[in-house]
Amino acid sequence: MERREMAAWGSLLGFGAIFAFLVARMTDGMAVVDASAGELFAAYLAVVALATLVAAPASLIARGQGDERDRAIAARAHQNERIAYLVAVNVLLWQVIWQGAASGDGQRGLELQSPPVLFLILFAMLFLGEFVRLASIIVLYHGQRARG
Amino acid sequence: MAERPAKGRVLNSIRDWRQKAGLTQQQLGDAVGATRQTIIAIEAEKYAPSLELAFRIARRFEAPFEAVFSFDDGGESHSKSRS
Repeated sequence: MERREMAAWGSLLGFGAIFAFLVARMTDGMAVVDASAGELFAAYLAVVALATLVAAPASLIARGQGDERDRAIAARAHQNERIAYLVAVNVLLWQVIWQGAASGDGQRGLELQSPPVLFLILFAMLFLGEFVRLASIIVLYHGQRARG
Repeated sequence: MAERPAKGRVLNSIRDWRQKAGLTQQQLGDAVGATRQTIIAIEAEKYAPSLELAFRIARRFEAPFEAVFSFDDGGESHSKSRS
């Protein structure tokens, strides 16, 4: 396994753990718990600090020796990340449109007016993009590995 | 409307040239500015190198470009020449 692939695995597991921590902190069962602005800010700081710790080793490795194949894989992974963001934003837009159309007949779906819900959704979108990028790196390195 | 070309494949005989030159994958990688893993991926035809890297590799073997690399266009040129 190549160093960048190992770094991607490490980051994927690290970001997975941070997202699990965020979800555990923000939810109770299937519902998003109510949180004050101060609590949201504390959660934001905790996630940013943990994400920085997780991302630092991988970015040090990525800055090290690499060649055109490493750059091509990174570019492809960023492209997939961008597609994931576009899909996530479009899903959110459709959710907003659907809520607008269905207003009045009992709110179902995501409560986008609630700051904790919006906070969790936006973080989930950021994590989704990162998961897609890291998974792409792992799959691309794995696919180019010679067998036998 | 122009027809979309079939997906081709870049083939190479780097392993033969490298072994003839008595080089390891690491030595070839160092000589052309690539990692050993990239040389492995190119030899296994899992990764098609850029033109620049391909030229560097051919020059390292002092061989004509087309002696090291070839292009399989999926039979497109054959079908065009028949039509």
